[in-house]
Amino acid sequence: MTGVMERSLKAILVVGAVALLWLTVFRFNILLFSNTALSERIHWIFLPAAFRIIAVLIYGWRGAVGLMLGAYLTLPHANPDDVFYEILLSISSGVAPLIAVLLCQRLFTIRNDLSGLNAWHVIALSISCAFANSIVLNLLMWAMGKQQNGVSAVWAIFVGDVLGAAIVIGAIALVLDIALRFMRRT
Amino acid sequence: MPSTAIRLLKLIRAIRDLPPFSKLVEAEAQLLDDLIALSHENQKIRLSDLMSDDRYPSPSTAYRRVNSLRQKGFVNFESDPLDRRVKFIRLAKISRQYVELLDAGIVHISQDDVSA
Repeated sequence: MTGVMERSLKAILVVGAVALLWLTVFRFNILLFSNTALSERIHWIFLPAAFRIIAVLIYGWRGAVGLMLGAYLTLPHANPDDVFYEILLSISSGVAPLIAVLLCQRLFTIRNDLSGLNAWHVIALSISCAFANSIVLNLLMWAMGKQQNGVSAVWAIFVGDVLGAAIVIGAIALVLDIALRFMRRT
Repeated sequence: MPSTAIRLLKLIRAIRDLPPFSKLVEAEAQLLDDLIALSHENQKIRLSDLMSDDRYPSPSTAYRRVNSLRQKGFVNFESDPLDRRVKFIRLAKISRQYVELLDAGIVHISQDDVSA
């Protein structure tokens, strides 16, 4: 297999895996937090937000494309007239975190291999991605005449993403801490 | 293109350092260094001796720091088989490995000095 073919295959696998994982985590979030929903797609706690940051940090543009595909798979596709809107919605789901991560990498001089990344950068990235996602999504909904909840939607998406990222990343940190303490003792 | 594994490791390390899960604070690191130095002298370190050491603001402060090291897995407490009330501080596996690395480094440097 040539180098180009191999790289292309890897990219397709990454995009597919990220999309499937996104779909799974999205469904899981609905299962757990359906009572925190402001609307069908806006939750006050949104766990997949952490996955957005991780996918883009680890896989770059391939992670972003995977998020776009994953977002598209979560949409209802009920109304043929909404196809264009759903495509734009899906694209924004990948573009917003990609822009936030790239900006933060430049601002904090985090290299491509994530050298220089520290805990405070992870926090800043979570907040930046939440902010970018909230603004981009709401601007899109407003432009397409789909904005229903006004300022509440802007705030709910931001808070949902921040809380979701905090819960997931905090849980990862806790598991790592317990695992390391166990390994040190044995 | 940096490998995915490298990026993942660096992200995990950054997450691992999130407060309050961060590594040793300076006072604890200093205490660990003191304990490592004492272990080099093959001294058994009594917890009560550490708590009465004038270098620490109070016995409770000394206990709190060494207990924090124990909770983080760097030291263990061992009871004296002859008197269960007496506790000794013993370096945990990771600290002993660190000591071994230091010793190996010191030997290596010494050999370089000799051959130079």
